[in-house]
Amino acid sequence: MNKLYRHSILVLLLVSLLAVYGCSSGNGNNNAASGADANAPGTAEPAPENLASELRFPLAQQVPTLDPHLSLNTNVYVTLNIFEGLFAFDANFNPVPMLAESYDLSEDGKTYTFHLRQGVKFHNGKELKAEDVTASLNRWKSLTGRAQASLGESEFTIKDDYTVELALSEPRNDIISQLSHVLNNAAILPKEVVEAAGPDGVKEYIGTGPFKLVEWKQDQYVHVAKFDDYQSVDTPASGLSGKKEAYLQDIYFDIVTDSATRFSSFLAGTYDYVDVTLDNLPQVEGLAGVTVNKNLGSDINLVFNKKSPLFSNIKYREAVAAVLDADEILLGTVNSPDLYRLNPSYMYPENTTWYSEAGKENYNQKNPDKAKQLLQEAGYSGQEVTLLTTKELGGSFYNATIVLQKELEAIGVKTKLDINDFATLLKKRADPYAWDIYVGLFTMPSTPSQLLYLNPTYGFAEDAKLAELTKQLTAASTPEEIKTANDALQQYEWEYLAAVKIGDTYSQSATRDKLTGLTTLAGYPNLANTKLSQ
Amino acid sequence: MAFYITRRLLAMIPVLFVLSVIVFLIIYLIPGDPAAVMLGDGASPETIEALREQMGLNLPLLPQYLRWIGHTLQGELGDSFFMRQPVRTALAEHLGPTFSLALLAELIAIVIAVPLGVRAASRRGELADKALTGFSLFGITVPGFVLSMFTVLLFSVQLKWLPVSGYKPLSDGLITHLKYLILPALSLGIVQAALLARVTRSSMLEVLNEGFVKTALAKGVSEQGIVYRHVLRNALLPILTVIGGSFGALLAGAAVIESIFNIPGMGQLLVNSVQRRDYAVIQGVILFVAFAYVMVNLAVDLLCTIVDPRVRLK
Repeated sequence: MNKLYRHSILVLLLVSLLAVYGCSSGNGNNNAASGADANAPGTAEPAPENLASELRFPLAQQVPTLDPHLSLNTNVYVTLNIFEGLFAFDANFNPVPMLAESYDLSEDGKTYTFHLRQGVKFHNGKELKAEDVTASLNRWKSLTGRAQASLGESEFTIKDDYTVELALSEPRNDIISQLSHVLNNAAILPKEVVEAAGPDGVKEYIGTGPFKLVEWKQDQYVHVAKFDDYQSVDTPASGLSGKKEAYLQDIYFDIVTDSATRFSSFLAGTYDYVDVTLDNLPQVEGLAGVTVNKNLGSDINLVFNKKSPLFSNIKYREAVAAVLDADEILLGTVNSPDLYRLNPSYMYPENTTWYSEAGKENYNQKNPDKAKQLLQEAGYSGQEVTLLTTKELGGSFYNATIVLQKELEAIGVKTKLDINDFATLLKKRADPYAWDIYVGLFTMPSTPSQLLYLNPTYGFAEDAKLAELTKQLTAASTPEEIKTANDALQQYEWEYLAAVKIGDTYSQSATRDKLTGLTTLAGYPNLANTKLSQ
Repeated sequence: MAFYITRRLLAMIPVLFVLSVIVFLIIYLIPGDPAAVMLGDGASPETIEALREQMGLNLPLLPQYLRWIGHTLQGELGDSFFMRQPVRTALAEHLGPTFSLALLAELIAIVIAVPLGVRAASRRGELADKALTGFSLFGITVPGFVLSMFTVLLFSVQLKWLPVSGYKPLSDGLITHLKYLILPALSLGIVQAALLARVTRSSMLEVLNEGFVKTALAKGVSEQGIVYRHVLRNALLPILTVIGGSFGALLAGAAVIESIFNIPGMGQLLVNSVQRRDYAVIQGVILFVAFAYVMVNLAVDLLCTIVDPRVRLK
């Protein structure tokens, strides 16, 4: 009995010890990263001695599908490393040929001729030919809203084994950008795979990228391995383009949805890369052998429902634009002045072709008096404004929305927060009667024609002048024409207010110094050229 | 006995049927569209519509239910929209981790709680009793996820003895299997132990006051002999019932702990499926959980007749 008694005391002691250790963990010395998960790497051929052959990479969200044509922002982390398109973005979002050798554009700007690289192999050993490109891209077009908007009725056709043609009914300058965009990526898959696909996606995940899929264990991990027959281009690596060489034999994308677990796993050495929240920042900043990186992530926009009873009236949209304090909303979203920047343009300054400051006088006005005046002119009488949001996706949408709510309430607008899980939000956002305002984070566009909210299906922008200006913009061919048309469109966007730009945000990540060569674009990792020292 | 078991199993059928209807209706009342979740922002409306058609979501409610219940009666439970496999397979894959975790957590709970409760009851008012009160207060008030964060920081991040998260099946070796399970099982087990220790204590106290204990004492039976051979056995029924209930709850999947430790069990499966509106999986998990509860209760009832032959099954 005495033993028992001592045991119970021991248990209590252990528990209190836990509490003490737990509380004092912030200043611990975590630099001995021995790796808690020491799996034997199942490699086919030995890697250079000083390089590790296996990398575990944490993903924060579930992967609903690995079909690159259906890719959502959560899947791109993986699919970018398996699949490739005819073109890929470099670090400045300029499209650079990838599977295409080159392309010609006819004098009238209507006919694109793509010359394919020869000798490129799919993961199943088949050589890439024009039939694969046309099958893939025509499917991509049929599935993707922005592709349909750009391509209209036109389809990709085979000229010969290594040449593909796209004949448009009107000149467009955004085709190459559309083919490079990371979301709903215009990836090339074998023709047979494309033909066997159902509405829920392709059945096999075969691409031409530096890594091939080995196993996808839903909700647990995606295992990819080096593709030995990968044919790299020789241009310098930049963004997602250029030379790619796989130094890692195996990569496991572990799905770890809990942010504290991801971070603890990084501290314990399971991962050598992790996303870092502001709360966790002090814990990594002092760590030896760890670098904290700041990546331009996404931009925040306020989208109006242009079919809602209030916001179909331009005066109400102007009132909201007048009251907005962009700093306040951005700070409320990312919690640190270092993690956002003001930007009056719908495009990033890094994107030199399309960045424009036209109409910036309507940005970040912080003018409650003007807003009240506009509300009065519109005849506002206390109708409730529904703010659609979600607490998922790290809480950014919600945080931005509650700051907006406070700003609107300050000028006497009655608001209602409609908080949903993400699946419900998607459903409601497609319903013109379910919401008034939605604040969201967007993956950066590379051309204005990729802006979702200029599209009638996203916020219901239906405006003849907007459509006309967009058409002129995409038809422009010389740099001067592009600049004129672009300024005109942005100027009009700031008047029509399909959406209001709030600003750009950065995300932070921590990388152990033994992981080198990892580049990201819009936060998405390019794991080719990435080396991990042992 | 066989008659009793058959009757209990038959009585389950109406319960499961009513449950299936309720679950089906609730699921279709919550908004959200699995097709939109799968295809995302960039998809054209026609694409989403085509996928809804393929998923069978455009049928009226009754045909959808009939189709599903038809599959279910054949033991198929339908196909997952997202996992590219039948629900039955998905359930089987996720049951293993949950079962291991539940078993280990329950063992930890019993090992901590029963001796502690017995000791506290036989030394009522003394230090051991107060220690139990303190422990159970701790276990009941500190949520499992807080406890798990502390244990992770201590054993994984600081000491690096155990992995932070993940799961390895038994086929990878017992030691590896346990290494990944011990922290989550501890977090769950301590919470369960708090409750179980209190039940053990009060049940023991009740029996300790009975006349036969005095008789045994008067006959000169040792204290340990009385407490473990006579009192504990008589006090076991409520303890078994609580163990059964908590084991059933653990089998339903400890969603929070599974998510923190990234264990691919029932709880995670349910949460993920709700998030993406994978209707067939949600229905399958809930039906399975109900079934597991009934089975665990049945097992507990049978166990009670063995422990205490006075209990008769009717």
